[in-house]
Amino acid sequence: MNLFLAHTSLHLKRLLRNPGFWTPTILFPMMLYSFFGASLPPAGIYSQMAVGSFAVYAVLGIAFYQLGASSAQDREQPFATWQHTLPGATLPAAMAQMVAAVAFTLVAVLLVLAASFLFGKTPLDLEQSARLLAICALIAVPASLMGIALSFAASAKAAPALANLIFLPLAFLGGLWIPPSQMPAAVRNISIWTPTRQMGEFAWNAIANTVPDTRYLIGLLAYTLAFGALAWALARRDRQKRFG
Amino acid sequence: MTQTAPPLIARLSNVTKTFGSTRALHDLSMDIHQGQAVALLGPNGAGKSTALSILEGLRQPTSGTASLFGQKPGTPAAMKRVGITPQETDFPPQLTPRELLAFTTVHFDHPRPIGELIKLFGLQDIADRRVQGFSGGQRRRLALAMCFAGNPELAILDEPTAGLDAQGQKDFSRIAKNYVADGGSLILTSHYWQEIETIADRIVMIDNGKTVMDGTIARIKATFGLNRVSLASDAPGPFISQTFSREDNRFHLITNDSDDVIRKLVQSGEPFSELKVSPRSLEEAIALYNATQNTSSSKESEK
Repeated sequence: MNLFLAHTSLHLKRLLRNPGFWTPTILFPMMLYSFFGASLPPAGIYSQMAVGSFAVYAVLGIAFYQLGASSAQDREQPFATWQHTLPGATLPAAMAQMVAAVAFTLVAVLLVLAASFLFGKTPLDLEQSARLLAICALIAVPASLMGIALSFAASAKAAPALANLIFLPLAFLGGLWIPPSQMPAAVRNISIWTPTRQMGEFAWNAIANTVPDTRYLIGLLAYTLAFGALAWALARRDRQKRFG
Repeated sequence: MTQTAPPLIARLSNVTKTFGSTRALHDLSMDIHQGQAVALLGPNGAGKSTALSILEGLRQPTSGTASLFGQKPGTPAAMKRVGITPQETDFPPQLTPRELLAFTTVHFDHPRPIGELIKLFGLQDIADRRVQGFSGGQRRRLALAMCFAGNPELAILDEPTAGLDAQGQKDFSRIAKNYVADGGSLILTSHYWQEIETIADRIVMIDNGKTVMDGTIARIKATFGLNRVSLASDAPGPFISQTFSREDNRFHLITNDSDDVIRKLVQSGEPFSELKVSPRSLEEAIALYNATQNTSSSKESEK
């Protein structure tokens, strides 16, 4: 328990004392929502859906930049290698990363919600907010697996670029910035196959209190399994490379 | 190995390690007993770092076995008794030495008090400042404090004083000697002969992944003398010509009994001038040791 607390507190301190890290991951979703999500869509259901879109965007941001790019960079530091020689440090170190990711995700999503209460034309009610939070926790699973896979796939130098290269187009294609209904037909046909669209559908349906289309359910489940397998295989390869 | 040898704490036994087609270690064996201070020497790329990383549990041998306190290296039971200082002293820049030391000590059963570590390694002025902006010497002292934070029975020190100033090196030599005197064991790699000679009592030299020399410093010195006698002579007679080796206008001899050589030189009545007797460095003694041993089969670890 002490070990777990020590690792979590060390990890959180490192992240919190690095504004260059948490500004884009925690503040950007809230800021982007305030600039675009709150003002552009008309009042009513579109205004509410925008909150869901930026909440998903926040979840993905933590997954790609904190669990993805930042972990890839940390892992290549000699300090990480030294930490590996501390007795019993492996599990607490991994758990500390997960706890920090959950904490940062929660803050990022809550900030989007707070902004929606302040600036949104039609804020979510309490029940909608609770459903959105719950669905974000669920979406965080496939999102985290994508981030973890990315962190093992790329070198420290390549990871941030790769994260941008995958994350930003996926956010656009998934309809997190422009609602699917306003996409050009060609883009809309691609959109339905992206994990980000499927996550978006979960969030939007949570706000509307409806059930997402079965194909999104199956799609996201398939992505979860695929990214889980990919993350596991890449982690194994990385372990062999660094500690074999 | 004598029968009264203290307990074995670390062992590499016929360890071979390959990375792809590169063979970093080739059938390397090495024992370390409690209370020994071993300097691991060898040219760059000889396999020192690989040997250490196997002892640290960071690498697995391709063949052969490694053990630390009777356990597999890397297991918590083994690592609780070991302190390691990394060769590269990069620390998360957002943290302070006090925080890093507190974090380190949590992993060990009987850590040293943090205040004591801060004092011992001269970190008082920087204990609560963030590592960002620390000089190389300050980072090095922090790395050393972290190595000893868990009160280890074995300290693995890879280039412990690289980047430290002369005073810092002296301070560290004193700390390391006290640590060994109190029953601790250590493995050291270093480029500083004086540091090696001050701290270590045994030398293991590896080259091309093999042990090429293993002996106590006392034995190396006893066997290979301490003094270099050098003189000039315009008309060397048979004694000088046969005893000394000529280098330009000067004659040299390395001997462990310079008094006897000089006595005989005077008795020979041969003319000489500019007589110089200088103690030979450990570095030279080892070069000579290697020249005469010339095999990897001579392994002795008696004290």
